[in-house]
Amino acid sequence: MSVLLEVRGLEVKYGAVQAVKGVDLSLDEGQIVALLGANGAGKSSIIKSLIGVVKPRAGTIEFMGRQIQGRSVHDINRLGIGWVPEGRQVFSHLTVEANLMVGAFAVRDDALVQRRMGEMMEMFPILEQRRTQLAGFLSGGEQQMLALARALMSDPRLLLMDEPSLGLSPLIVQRLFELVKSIRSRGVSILMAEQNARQSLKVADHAYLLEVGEVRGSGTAREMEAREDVRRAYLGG
Amino acid sequence: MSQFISGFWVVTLISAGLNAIITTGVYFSSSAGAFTVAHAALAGMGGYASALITSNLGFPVWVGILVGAALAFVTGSLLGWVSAQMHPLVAGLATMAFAEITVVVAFNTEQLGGATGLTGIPLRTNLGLVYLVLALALFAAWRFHHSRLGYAAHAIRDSMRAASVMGVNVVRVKALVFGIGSAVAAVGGALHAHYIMVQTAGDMGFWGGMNYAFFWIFGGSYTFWGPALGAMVLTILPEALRFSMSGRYILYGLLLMIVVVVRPQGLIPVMPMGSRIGLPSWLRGRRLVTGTSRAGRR
Amino acid sequence: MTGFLQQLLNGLIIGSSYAVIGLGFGLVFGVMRVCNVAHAQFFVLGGYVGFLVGLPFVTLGGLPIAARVGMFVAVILAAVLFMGLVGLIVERIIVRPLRGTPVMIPFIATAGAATALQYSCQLIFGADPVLVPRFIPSTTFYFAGLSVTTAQLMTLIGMVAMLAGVQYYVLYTRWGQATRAVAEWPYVAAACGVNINRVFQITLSISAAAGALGGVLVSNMYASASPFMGDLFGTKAFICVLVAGNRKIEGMMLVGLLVGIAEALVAGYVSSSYRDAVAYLILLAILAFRPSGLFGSYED
Repeated sequence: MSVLLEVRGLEVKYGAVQAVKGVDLSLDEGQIVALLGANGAGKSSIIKSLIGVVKPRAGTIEFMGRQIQGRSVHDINRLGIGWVPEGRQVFSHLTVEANLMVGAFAVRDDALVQRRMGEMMEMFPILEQRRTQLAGFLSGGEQQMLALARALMSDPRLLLMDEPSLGLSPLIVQRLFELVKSIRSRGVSILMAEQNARQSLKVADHAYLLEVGEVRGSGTAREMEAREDVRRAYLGG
Repeated sequence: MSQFISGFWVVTLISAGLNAIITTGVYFSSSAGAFTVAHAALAGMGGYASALITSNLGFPVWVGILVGAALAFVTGSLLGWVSAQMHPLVAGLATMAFAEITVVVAFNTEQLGGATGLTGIPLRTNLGLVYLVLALALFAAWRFHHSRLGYAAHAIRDSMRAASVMGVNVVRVKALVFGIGSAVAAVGGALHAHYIMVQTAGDMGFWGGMNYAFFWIFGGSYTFWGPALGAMVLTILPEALRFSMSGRYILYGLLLMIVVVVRPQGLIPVMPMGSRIGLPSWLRGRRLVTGTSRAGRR
Repeated sequence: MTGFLQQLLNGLIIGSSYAVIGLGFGLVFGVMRVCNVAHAQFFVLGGYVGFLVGLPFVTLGGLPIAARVGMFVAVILAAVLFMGLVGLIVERIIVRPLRGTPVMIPFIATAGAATALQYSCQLIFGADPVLVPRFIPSTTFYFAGLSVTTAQLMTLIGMVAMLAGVQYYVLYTRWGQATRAVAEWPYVAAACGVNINRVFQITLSISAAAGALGGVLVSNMYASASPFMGDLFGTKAFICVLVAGNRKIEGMMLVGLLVGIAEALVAGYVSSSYRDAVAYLILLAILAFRPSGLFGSYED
């Protein structure tokens, strides 16, 4: 399996505050990798610098052999990275269908876009039902599905997910993570920042533990589950 | 004094001094973070009031000026109070609306002379008086800058939330300082009326107010004397360079664009570059954020 | 009754010009969060460009109506295209460097630009209004007891066309939807492959073009153009956007029409000298009760 994403020495600063202090991580093709840690650990900042929303202070990000740090967000998307932002952030005044269309903005082939839309409707039947409704009126779980489908419309190789389970009920979270597995089986690699360690370790292959902007540990999901500090802080003992 | 300076310079210096007084009024009113384009209107208010008191009612000038200042203080406090809780842009627009409505009212009121304005105002202003008043205004600004009220205002300017958490009554302070600044501007306006001997509403609107905002920004809004200095420089320089009216405003406009983009703390180099103390939070925020602090949104 | 309807009609026509200029301003405000004080100058410049382009041709005699209409349309197109270009330049040198800054900064910068532009116009064209000769001679149509001149009719048609066009663009085209996406979550839209800078350029161009259209039609209606005609129209259009909130474009248009009508009614039944204050009073009233505007803003 080849390395899809290689991050070295990533540093992110907001003004005087350093959110990420020299982080190394990597992700192989076909992997699901989880970034674990509490609020403020730097997980979100890492995700945002990968998609280009935040410009890192230092460090390199290599995606499919290309250096992408400092590039514009839409360039990074066109290179094959998708983003499911924290808080869903669906386009509330556009219909579900329109949201998906915008997701495929970079795709020129209309027939291809229609085909993908059909695939998304299959994968997320709720969206088919709510096709012509304004996204702002969807429930939290439905919006998360929409945000996920929207990110998939550009057929990314790597999907970045930022706190997907935030604010969702356990049942929906379970469904969500099942979807994550089926997305991986379609050939999409996934890097997700998640506070919900239990659920994410169930689906992830590999995980990194972040604290105060640094990597405190990493390993396979099983290894991480077995660690004392992880068990105590995130898995309830 | 005036015998030693040529007539042209006397006129220019008086104009500069009057602008400096009014712009010091802007300093007071903005010290708690407000952005105002109402001060031309407030100055005009002082002019109208003093004109009526002296011409029509026969009172001496100092009464006229005091009445004008009091009137402006009340009005300004009200305006400051109303805009205290608004989003900065909306508050600025409220001052704009106030200015424009004042103009319309002045144009349409018989007692204020309608479109022609008031004429025959007694001449009382001279170079010495203007600079005496300016010195007093700057003295008051200095004392204010280092007073409890001044500190409270600056705290609000930096962060309304932090200030109120520290026990500052944000709304009251904003209203009060706006009122003080309005009164100062009104004094300037009254002196102006007693100098050119007419008072019209033409320059009292949004663009007249923007004029003083230019001076304020250019001179540096974080010192108590910066605005006055800005006013004087931007009044004297174009005159000295024999700029036409249009040319002067083109200069103002271009300068403003450059200042805002390059050096929001004003063009007068006193504080070291990068110092952000004393700027209103909405003016300061420009270079503090190097990344984004919220995904997606601005 | 006809008096009332006539006032209504007049108000509608003026209101439609407020709506168009407000639309241009509101687009930029809503999509880019930039309060473009210089928007009124697009209006003024558009009017002058139309005047300059048309001047050599308008005095040509002996041409059939169809040709004259054609020439007028060409003049409009010229002004609109020119200002679209100007919009691109403004975006590059003023708006883009100031992206992400707190809202007052672009306000002040564009206020400076507005001043510079306005007085440049004064320098070039003089402070006095110029007479703008009309391509299509003015005749008055009467129907149902109401009167409307050709100029007014053209203004109404032009405005309606523009408003419909922008609505269509925003609602039904790919770029229009992308624009709405950018207005709400710019970085999320970018992560979908949308080039935000391109969207901003297009938006500002449309805004400038709308202003230009308004400028040409209004200067035609009043047969005059001056560097200061932007002031009144611009600030009123600005007020329309504030009253309506920056979320719905239809809202801005509606408010534009309503302000025009309100003004006409006040001028007709109360006093014509207070007509200019009407817009400001409406603004203060609305802001006092619903600070984010009648139809809400994105910040809600």
